[in-house]
Amino acid sequence: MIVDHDRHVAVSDYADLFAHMSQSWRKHFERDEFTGSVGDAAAHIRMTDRFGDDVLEGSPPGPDIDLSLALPHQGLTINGWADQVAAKAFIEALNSHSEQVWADGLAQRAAMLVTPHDPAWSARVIRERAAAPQFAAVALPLSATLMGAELFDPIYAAATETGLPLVVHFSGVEGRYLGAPPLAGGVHRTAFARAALMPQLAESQIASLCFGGTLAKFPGLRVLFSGFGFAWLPSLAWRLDREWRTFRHDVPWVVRPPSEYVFEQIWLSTWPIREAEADWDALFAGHQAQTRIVYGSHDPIDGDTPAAVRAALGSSADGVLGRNDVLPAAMTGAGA
Amino acid sequence: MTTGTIPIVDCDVHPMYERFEDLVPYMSAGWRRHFEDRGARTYARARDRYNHPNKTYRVDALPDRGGAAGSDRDFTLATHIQPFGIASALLLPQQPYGVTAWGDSAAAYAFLAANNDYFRDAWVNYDDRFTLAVTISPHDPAAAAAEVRRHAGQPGIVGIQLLLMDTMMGDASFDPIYEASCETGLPVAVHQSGSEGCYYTSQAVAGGVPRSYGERHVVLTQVGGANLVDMIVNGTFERFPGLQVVMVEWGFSWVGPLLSRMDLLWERDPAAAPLVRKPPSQYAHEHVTFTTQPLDEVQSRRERAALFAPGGLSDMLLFSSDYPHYDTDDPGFVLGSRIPAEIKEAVCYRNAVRVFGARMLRGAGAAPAPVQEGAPA
Repeated sequence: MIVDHDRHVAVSDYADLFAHMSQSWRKHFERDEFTGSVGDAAAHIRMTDRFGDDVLEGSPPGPDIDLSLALPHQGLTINGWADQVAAKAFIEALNSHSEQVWADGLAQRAAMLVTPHDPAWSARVIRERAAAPQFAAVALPLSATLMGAELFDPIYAAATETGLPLVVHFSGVEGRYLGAPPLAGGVHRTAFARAALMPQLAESQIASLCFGGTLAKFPGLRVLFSGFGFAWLPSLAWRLDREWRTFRHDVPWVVRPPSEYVFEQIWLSTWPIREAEADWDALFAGHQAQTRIVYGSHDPIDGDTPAAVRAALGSSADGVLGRNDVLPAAMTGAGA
Repeated sequence: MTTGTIPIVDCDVHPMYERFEDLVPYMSAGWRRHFEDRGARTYARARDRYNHPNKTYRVDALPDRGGAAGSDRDFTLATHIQPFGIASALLLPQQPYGVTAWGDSAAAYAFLAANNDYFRDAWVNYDDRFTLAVTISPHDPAAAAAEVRRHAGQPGIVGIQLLLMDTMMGDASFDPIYEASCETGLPVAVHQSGSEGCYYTSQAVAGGVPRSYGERHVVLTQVGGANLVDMIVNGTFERFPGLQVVMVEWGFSWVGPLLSRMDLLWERDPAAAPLVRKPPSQYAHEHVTFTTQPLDEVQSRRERAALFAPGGLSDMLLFSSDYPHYDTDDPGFVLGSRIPAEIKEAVCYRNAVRVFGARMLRGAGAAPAPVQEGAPA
């Protein structure tokens, strides 16, 4: 079974979401500059800086895909919004749209959007919607507070309780919009530099989840970092363990080498697969790090087909394409 | 344990002045009064924000006769340089890191200049195994360039220690510094100062504020990566084809994956980076080297092979110990059992001589044939 863990979906007209909003929120969002911004968010990688890009609504998955996880990436862009109250009405409308349009509960499932700015509310949304077969994961946009902060525990408790993994994907405004997470260094002025450095955003979140004790506290928590590449994972694992060995008395709640938590609870998706082409055999083949990599096409934005994965990874490709232990086992037919 | 006949160049040794009075001969009466009244902050990290859980230095590096670790040149020679047979140590004074948290540009330069003069006289002129990188800060690029030129050509002055504040290295404000670097043939070494992630006036890691010292240290490497990307994307190496940059203590296991990713992004859309004229990794291979400490603690021979696998890495690594800090890499252990035999000569000294010039081995009896100073790799 091939699961596409990274298939992006978007609306081409924000008015499509109004049916899922109260009258007052609908009136709030019925303004030209909001509906006119649909292209900004739908273009997904604000990193291109080409505002006004065509909306990429998505395309049907190829015949070799058995299950797709749809990520409504417009919802991720609330991490650049100023109004985090309106943001909740927006992502709930996207969730309703997912349930009715983007997911069929069989071969197409969706990631349910929540917000880091209201963990208690997000936990309620997770518990209310988890039973719907349309949802296979919880998408948590990144805020400027690293994920290991205790204030997010209600989200992790609800995800663990309902058996849904978290999916983390950048929205494209990171390092760009005030309030969104920064990238490393100073302010990067080009989309190229931001794209090159985006993996570091996932590194920091994983370090925070390890050293903050989240992964130890929630052993059932599963987190998929999607769109961040993956070639950097071995380097991160070595650094995590080195610092833990030096400073473990400072973080006594981390009782095992951090890489052990990573190799059990963290996954990365394959896009862009060619990133690791040169050093895949040395860094991943036969190594535990390989068990963290699952297929994600990233369609319809510069997507990688399963054939591209096979071309890049050779004999390792079948193992990667066949790995489906992130989403709930009942949906993938995988063993627990 | 030594490496026998292979000279060892240690590209990260931290000396300290013992007391502020050491600097007094090198500053005006006015600046002396200024610092005597106000003190001179000599550490950059906000210690109330990230407290080191232990000590920042090795306890066994405390000199017998008292004083701070690294403040006794004879003790450094007797316990680090001599026992490991180190032919040459690149001195990177750490007290100047404090100026990255200073607002007063003129005071910063009075302090930096005094430090540079002191370490030249008291350390470099004391033993020819000591070489010095002249410390400058971004407070005032014109003053920085002048300070570089003031020291260029003196025996044992082999490089520049550029401190970083909030502006990344690809910014055009650094151009006067790079111009002085290329003109004098002194490579630019960049070491973390401790201010990273502490202030609005410093650079930070991705994602937010790490909670603890160790967590911050896991991702501190990112600042090195960000500056590497910034220089390549902003065309620094196109403007300064002779520039050599040495990234000290930023790690290196992240370099291969980052360069592969940059090459991939550039192949897909070269127009997104119009100042980049060739695959981004080529700039790194031609202009940038990385020191080995802190060496990632790989757990198996297989992982060790993976650590050194990325293409071209053997020409980009310089051995370093970070003596006398808490996470010093023991030269005997690292060179004896961690650096693959086939790249040991390159890592021990060949790469360092290529980057810094033959003057890097002024203390070695049989220095290899000199190479052209300041020449790109």
